[in-house]
Amino acid sequence: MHEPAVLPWWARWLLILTPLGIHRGDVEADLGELFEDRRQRYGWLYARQRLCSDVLSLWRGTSWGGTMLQDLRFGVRLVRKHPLPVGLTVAGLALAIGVATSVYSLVSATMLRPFGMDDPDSIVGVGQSGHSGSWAYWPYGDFLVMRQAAKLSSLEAADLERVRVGTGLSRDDDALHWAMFVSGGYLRILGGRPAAGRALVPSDDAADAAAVAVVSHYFWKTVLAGDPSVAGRIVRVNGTPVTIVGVLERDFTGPSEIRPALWTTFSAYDELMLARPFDPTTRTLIEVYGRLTPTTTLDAAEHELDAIVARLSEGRTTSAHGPEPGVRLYRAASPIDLENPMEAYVATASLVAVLGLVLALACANAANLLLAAAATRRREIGVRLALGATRRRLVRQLVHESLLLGLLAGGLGFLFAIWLVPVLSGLLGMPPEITAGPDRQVLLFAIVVAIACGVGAGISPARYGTRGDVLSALREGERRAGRLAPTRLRTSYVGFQAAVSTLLLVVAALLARTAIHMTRTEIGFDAGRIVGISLSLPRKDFNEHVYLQRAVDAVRAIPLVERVSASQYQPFGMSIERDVFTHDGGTHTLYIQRSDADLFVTMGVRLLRGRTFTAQEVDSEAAVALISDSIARAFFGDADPIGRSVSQIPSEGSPHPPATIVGIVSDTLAGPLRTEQLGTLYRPISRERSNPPSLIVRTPNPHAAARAIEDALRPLDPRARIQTSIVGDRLDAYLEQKRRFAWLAGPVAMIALVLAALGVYGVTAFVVSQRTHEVSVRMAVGASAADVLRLFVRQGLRPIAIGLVIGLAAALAVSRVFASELSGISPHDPVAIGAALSVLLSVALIAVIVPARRAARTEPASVLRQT
Amino acid sequence: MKGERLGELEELTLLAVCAVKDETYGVPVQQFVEKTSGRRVTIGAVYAALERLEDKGYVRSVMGTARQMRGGRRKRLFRATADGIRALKETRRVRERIWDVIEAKGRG
Repeated sequence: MHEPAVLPWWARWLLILTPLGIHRGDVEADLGELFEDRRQRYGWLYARQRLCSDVLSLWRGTSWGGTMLQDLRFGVRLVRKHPLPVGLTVAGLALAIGVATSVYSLVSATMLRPFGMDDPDSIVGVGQSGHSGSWAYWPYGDFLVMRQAAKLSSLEAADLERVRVGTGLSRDDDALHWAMFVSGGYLRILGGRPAAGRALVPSDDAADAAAVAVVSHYFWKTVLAGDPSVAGRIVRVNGTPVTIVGVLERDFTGPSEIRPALWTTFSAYDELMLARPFDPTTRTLIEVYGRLTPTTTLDAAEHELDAIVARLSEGRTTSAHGPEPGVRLYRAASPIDLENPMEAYVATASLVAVLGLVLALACANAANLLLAAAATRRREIGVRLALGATRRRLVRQLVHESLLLGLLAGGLGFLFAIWLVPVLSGLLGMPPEITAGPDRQVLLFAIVVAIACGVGAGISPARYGTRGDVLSALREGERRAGRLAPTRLRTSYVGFQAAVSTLLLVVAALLARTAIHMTRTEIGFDAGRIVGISLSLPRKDFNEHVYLQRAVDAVRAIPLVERVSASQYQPFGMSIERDVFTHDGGTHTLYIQRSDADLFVTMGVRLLRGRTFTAQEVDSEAAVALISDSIARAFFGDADPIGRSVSQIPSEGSPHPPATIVGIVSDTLAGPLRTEQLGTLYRPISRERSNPPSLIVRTPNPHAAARAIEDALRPLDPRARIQTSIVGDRLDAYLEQKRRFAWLAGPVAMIALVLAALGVYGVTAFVVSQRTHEVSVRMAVGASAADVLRLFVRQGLRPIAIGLVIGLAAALAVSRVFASELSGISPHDPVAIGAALSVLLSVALIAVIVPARRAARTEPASVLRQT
Repeated sequence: MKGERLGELEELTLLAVCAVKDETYGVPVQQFVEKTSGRRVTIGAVYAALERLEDKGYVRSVMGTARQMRGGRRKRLFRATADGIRALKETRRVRERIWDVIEAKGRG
């Protein structure tokens, strides 16, 4: 007997949903056998077609499956008969499902995908923890010892670097890419398999091995144009030729959010990075990852490594305040940020909440339309009841109909998502390496959402539609049936829609205001002309002072460079210093910049009053300070601050002498543009510091200068690591990200607004058509057209007003959560909220007035004669 | 005989059960019906027919022996009962009587 054939995935899913009873195993085996037989005889296509009809045929055999098929056929007929209302419902649902599905694809591609590694659960990152928090880096020498001694996990290591990679003839075209330097077994333990050529193997990491690399699938497709004979091709990495031996599978990224373009070995590090070669004494910091052996728990592996590291540090004299290393293992298989898992969860959760709201809005809309349909279909339902249909059967029929609507909308929404995903990922500026296709998982999501929407929209109209007695339904017919329409239910849908639209509109308006505000923000210095250079220097046997002097001279000698200054922090850099200062009992939190006397000219920060530091003050680290304009006013009001002093509230026990203010400079944006715009206090650069200073360079052409600086500094000392950053680019990237956020919120709010307007319009129009008779009577006894209009507007707007208040309250509560996204705009910004409310109100008013005017134009005589 | 008639697909299915083997299951029956009748038959329809035939007492299902296993479990096999065969013969007799009449008319 042979093993049953494996069915395609969709058939397996359908089978799971199919009620098969106790013979499930038999049926599945039979289907497999038939499928295999047909495939061999007639090919895939035929086998699939037949499999599809076979699986569907199984439904007919069951009791409810049969009635469902019957209902669906009836539903299709209804769709043909009433194309407009059904079309509106389906379009609304499809829009919402499409948006939800595309956002879900993006989230799943960026956050939920486990980096394409094998068996991700047993992959761990090895971090060290001390009293100053934990970090994921180890000296290379320690890693070698750990790898040797560890029995419960196999350890490998990696180090991510920015390199220039070139394929053409000219070095000028070399572009920046991320390269992952790895130990020999890295790709093997993580599951980085080659799609072409071979992967890196341990022998590639031998000290005398030639420099080889594997490239990412994306790099191969784009930069190398999918070259079929890529293995053996030579590329230039930082000017050094490297042989490509293979291309990795598309999904593989390794445990990092940054997707490297190529992977090469530690043994090539010295050659490519012009640094000291890796050997057991190397103290260069690298990241360590491991795969647990089967049956090993995280705790056991952590315990073992902890013991190894404890032995390691025995022989060493640890510095007094250095971290006492302890090993902390963490799961490395998820892109969720380990330092701030909550942030990622909150972001995802709020996204899901917004999507849920939009979907609920579309459902409410569909429910409203279906409710109207149920009211007009009372006659049909009455006939069915009279012919002996049970109430359960009727409810089931209506639910099946809405299910049909849901699936129809789901299909359209999915097609919409296929178009929308690339548009959205472009708007969001996602790295092109990320392929966010509507995959199987996304399709499943869409189907589940569609079914939920269909049933959610159908359940209350179905319950309503089948209520009431047979006779009156038959006698009344369709015209007056609406009198019995559950007005409270319908208006509460409208109220709900108004609330959700308000919430989304207010949020979108706040984000839009932020985007506008930021383009107008005064940066306060010439961000477009600045290149920052960060240095990482060895601590032992290295004269930092001499090196710095030589580096400054070398940079100054470059023709493009206008000025060079030293400062502790870079504008928009990775690190920033903040402290609390006190004056006259009040406290203020300020950014602190420590620099030489020249920095203000280099960066283009204007001196408003007083003077900058003198060279002596910088040399002696005198207790002097410059402050920015806004804090001068906040601290001292209209009084002259020059000559006054501010003191820092001492932290960690060490006293700080008060600093005398010698000058005032214009305000600058020193750090991230947040709501709380902090001023900056400038001090002379300190000699006792934990990190070497950054060099700040002023130049008319930052990009060309950055390249020239790297070339000039590299030969100075191979032990130093240099990184240039273009401040203007950082700022642009940051602003761009904010703008995209607003861009994304806009369409979502627009969809919400359109859906709400449709809902309001639909309900009012329906109410108006149902109350023609009543209106005629009112007009016959003397009501004017204006009275009628007022009546409908008042009644139509009441649920909207209630929804508006609820939505506004929700928006105010929610906006506090993402206050950090709103730079310079208060979460209660009256302009944004006012604009959102007035847009919503005017749209709602139009949606009410248009159908209400129809009622006001009623000819009482003709209507009354008819009834 | 329980006085119940055979539907067309039921008849074909029952004939197939008799024709294929002493004991058979869904796949061979479906293939046989499809091949001999020349029309597409879904497996669902075959199951439904077998189900009805079993209700009428025309086929009996038994669990297969240890040799007849698939995916680690015994499969359910169908076998025509004496009632079933009688019903088939009865149907055939009815048809033959009618054909006799038709052919007699053709000759005359």
